[in-house]
Amino acid sequence: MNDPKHFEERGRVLAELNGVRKRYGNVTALDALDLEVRSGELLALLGPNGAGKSTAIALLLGLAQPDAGRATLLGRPPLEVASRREIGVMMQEVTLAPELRVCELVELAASYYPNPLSVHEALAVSGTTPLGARPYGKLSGGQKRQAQFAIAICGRPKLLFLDEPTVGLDVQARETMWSTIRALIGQGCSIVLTTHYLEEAEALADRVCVLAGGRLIASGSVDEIRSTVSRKQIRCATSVSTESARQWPEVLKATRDARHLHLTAVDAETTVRHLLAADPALRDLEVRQAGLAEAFAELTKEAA
Amino acid sequence: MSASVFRSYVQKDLFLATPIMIGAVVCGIISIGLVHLGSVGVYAALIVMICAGASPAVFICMYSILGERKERSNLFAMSLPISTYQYVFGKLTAACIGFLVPWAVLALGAFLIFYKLPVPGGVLPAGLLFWGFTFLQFAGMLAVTMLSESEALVVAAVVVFNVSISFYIFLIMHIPAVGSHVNGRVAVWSPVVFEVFAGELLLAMLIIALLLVRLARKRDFI
Repeated sequence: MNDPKHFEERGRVLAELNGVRKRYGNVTALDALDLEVRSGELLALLGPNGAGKSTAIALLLGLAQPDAGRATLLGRPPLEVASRREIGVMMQEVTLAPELRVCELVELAASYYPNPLSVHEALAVSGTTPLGARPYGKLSGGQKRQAQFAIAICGRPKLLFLDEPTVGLDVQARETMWSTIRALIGQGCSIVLTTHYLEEAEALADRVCVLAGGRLIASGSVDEIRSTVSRKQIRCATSVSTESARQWPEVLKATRDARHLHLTAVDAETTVRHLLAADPALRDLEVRQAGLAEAFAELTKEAA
Repeated sequence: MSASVFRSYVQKDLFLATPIMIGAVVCGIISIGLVHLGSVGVYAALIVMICAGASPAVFICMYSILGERKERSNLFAMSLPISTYQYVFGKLTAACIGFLVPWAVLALGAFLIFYKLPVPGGVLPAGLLFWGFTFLQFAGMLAVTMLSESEALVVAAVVVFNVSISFYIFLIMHIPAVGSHVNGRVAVWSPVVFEVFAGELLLAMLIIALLLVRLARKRDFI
């Protein structure tokens, strides 16, 4: 991160979709989509199933061609080998040769790159050293994802595509992968992450793009995306009932657990005034902005 | 860099095809043993030899190509720094080596046996043409498997190509220069035999070359 060259380059567009359209038969997978991946950032690509995330990634990787518009990868057409030498890819639902050991798969993938990590380094960096000697076909789902991560990073990528990287991982393995991702970003690697785990995007992303129906419906930092949703979450220990709270016009939702009343409201200040008026003895008051999950739900609901 | 990428890819595919290549050769050796069991043994040997010759083609098409596409392993390969041409050329090269090595070993073994052992050699020209046909059959199956997106079509093509063996044997037996000498003690090598065999090899190579040209232009892999 302290390398001045790294800062100079930060913000440069590494991969781009420019007005792309893609149809599969009668289904429009992408519709006039503009998307940029900038140097030094972790871009989280979010969207419900069928939103067009995987198609967008496929176009950036040159695995499919747009019907209209243009895709570029590191300033060149994505199919050019020179572009591919600077990327790493971890795809979803890909089966690798089950007969090969993890270290052999890493060695094989590394042989395609001009200046790869050694097998030992790739396994160590990805936290998969204990899996190295095991046949890929004998690994659990989560371990296969870890092995694929080791393969994705073995070429010292400038741009890394991670498609649902932590599906099936236990908590410890997920933490290890997150910390490796953070370290890679720190070393100047840029990452495109597609995930259904919104807390993952919240924890890692510099920028979030939300897709729905093949279109970009929101883009910005996690805070910017969260702020597009005006609702607030209010929690307090009070004698006010959920029925009473639901009578207040600014309250969208009211629930209660053993200790707390939970409200979702469009105007937190008015709601708090109502609460204090109804129960001056209320305790444990907490007001927070909607999280990425709530913002995502609202954005995609509007787009549907 | 290009050569090493190409070599890596071919080696990977060959590594996965090695068991079937060895299996085909072992079946060929077993068929040689069957020849010693008299006339029934010779027929049994022929059947084992036909199966041994055809099995690498079926395995390569169904497992190495169709299986790879079903499991999306081809997308993983295409995400590596490898051009479409390198990928297709590597795939076809590995497929051809995987088929042709046992094919050549079995053919050579069979011909040596016929020349060394006291068995009637009249069937050899027909055997040569049949062997050439298996290469043509392999090229056809390879083309359908690599061009078609439909698994059902590939399976149907594999069945049709294998059933066509019977029709082909029927056909070549009606070529006078071949059929009239099949039961003879000595092989009669008419120029027609070499012309048909050369035609089979050339047609198979043409199919594979056209396949390379067509697939190297492919741009959509999903």
